[in-house]
Amino acid sequence: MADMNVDQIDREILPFLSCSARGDVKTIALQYFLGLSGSKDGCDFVASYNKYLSALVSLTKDGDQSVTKDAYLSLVNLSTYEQTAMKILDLHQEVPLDLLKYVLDKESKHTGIVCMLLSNLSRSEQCSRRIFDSILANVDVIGFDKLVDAFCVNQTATLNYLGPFFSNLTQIRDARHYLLDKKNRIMQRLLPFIQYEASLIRRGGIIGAIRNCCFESSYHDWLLSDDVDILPRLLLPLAGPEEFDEEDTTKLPVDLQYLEADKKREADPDVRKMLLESINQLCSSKSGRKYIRDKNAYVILRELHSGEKDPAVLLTAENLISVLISDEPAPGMEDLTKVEIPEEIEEKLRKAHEAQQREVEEETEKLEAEKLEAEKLEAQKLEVQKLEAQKQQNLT
Amino acid sequence: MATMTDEEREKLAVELDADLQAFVAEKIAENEGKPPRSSVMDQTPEELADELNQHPAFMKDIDLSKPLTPAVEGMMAMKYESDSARDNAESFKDDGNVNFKLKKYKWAIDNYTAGIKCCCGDVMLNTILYSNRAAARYHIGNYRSALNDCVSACKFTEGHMKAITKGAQCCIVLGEFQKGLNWCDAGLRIKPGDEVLLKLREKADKLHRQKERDERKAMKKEQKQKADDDKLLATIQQHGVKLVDTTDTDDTAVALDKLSLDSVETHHPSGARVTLDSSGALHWPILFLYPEHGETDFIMQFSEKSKFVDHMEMMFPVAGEPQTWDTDNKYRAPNCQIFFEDQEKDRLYPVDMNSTLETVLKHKRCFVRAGTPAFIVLIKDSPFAKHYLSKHGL
Repeated sequence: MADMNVDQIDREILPFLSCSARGDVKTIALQYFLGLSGSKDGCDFVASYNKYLSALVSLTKDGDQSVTKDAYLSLVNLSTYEQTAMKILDLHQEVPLDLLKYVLDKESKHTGIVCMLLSNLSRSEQCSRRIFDSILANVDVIGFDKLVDAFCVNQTATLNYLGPFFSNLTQIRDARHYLLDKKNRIMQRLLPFIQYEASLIRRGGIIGAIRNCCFESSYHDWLLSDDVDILPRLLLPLAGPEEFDEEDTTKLPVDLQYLEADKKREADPDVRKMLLESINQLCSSKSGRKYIRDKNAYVILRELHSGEKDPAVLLTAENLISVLISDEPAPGMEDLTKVEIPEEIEEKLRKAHEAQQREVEEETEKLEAEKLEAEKLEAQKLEVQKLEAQKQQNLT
Repeated sequence: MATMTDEEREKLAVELDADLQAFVAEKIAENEGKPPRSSVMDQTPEELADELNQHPAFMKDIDLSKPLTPAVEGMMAMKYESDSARDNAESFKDDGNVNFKLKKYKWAIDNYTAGIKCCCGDVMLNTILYSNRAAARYHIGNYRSALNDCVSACKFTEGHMKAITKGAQCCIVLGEFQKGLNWCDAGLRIKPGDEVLLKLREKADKLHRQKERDERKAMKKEQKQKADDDKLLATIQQHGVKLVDTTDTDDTAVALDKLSLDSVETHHPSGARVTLDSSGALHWPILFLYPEHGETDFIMQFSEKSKFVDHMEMMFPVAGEPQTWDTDNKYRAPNCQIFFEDQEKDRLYPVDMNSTLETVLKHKRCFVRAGTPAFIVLIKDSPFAKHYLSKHGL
């Protein structure tokens, strides 16, 4: 079936990819496309013809729930590829609106899949821009407050993929400003998800969005103020059960004082890295650095660093720690986001950074190789044990 | 309805007349014993003015601390005699609000309670009665019942902002910060950006986190205490010390598996208790008894690594001032003998002056009572010592 040519498909399958087609054939036609979308080649093939994409999108409005489900699933697969994602959004203007309306509708049956689709579609900056514009144009129907409301109220797994969706959207500056709106208190409502243990998708997505928002240095003072109090939220997942002496303890934010003996650190290295990057961003201004130093973040980071295995997280932690423990830069250069760097130095820094990245990659590869080796050994051991057990059995 | 015949009607009229007659006669009889009402002419102008002021038609103020005149009472009763429960409840609410403004919170509470008891069907009115009573109760510090009223108010009208705000305030004063946060969040969902609620939320959040910290701290402390205690008990066990729980009626050595810290609790007012130092040595509170003089010495911390001789030489140096009770100047280290007593067998065992406390406590007949090892000090070969020792089987 896979080697069918375009003419054949156009003749034999495409006519049935429409809401008005007969149910049984429609299902078969759709199954074919869903199958195609399972492989990269298949995706490329489908994506090169707008008529197919368009047909799939139209089927998401079919009356038969099993048909809409398969249509959405095919689109999820197709949208994994950035080019295709843009093509889908380009089909017609209502695509983001329809999808977001679907997510907000409590009667919808496949909300989880559609959230996944949105998360895929918004991956590139260009696509995010498109979706964000659509949100802005329809604030009354699919405004950010409504999306966040739904996300906070419905904490079942279905809306988890809105987390990465928010993270993707915050690539766009205007979207960041929306999340940082002081009146709507959206940021305050998202912060608790930093500790959302039930889903890494939701937690990681929101932390990604928060990390992106931390790039807005004009909001730093507000983020660190009592109104948001973001620092303890970012630090808590990085803290372990270590005890500090009275002096160190009292300097810490209250949420980090006297943590339980079974306190666990964030398990996912990417999430740990994003948390560190967020704090690093907050260190870009003098007042931010002072606040974070005064709150004794250093001791938490020191303990994290001493037990950290992941090379990328280690490097991020080291960078942050060095900012915290080094002397303040010369007057006029306190705001790190505004420091002008001469070209040659920039080039040097870039090279240094690349070298570091390479090191991290090598380190990671080495670790992975070691892990593989260990697994292999383990497997061999098991094999030997099995053989011996068999021998024993044979003997007895 | 069946119509009355003329005959019946006449009979009823006669009966009613008779009733009225009887009632009037009764009233006259009632008043007969009382003095006749003084006429206006007999009163002084002050009395007259006073009486007029008490009359509902002329009164400007009402003093509720004094008994009410019958006329005023009558007027008041009339006010709440309306057939409509709603009108009555409304009247009570108005009275409550007046009293509330005058800061007469207890009266206001009574008014609102009376209004609630009218059980009128007006949902909003009931909401306000409960919500206002909550406010009044809050003002006199009855936070718990105020909170209950807030809950009731919200049962009548979900999302009543005044009740929600008051509820949040009550929770904060009661130290139930998480609940307070829930009230705030509920209110903020209805009215996003409400300044008062935002402030309350911030306060509740701060206090809540502090409380959590305090709880964690207390728990840590408790855990550490327990770990220390366990280590102490384990060391006591390892060092072969036999504790006797004096709270037990039968004076047997405590079975080691139920060893508890109660058995190292001393009865000394200083509260001194065996401690474990960082090198793993125990420090015991020790009691020295001098039966010849009826005197005792209480040593708060005596390291188990110390030798008795060292202690004796410090307490009773060969040269130097004798203890005040040592009238004969006999108590000098070389003259002293130390014993411990096995109370169960009523026997004394001599202690080698050069041994450490640790070795003595290991002795199989040496028991520690009340967490305090006790030793008897006698003067070698003194008549008292001979007598005392013979009494204890030596």
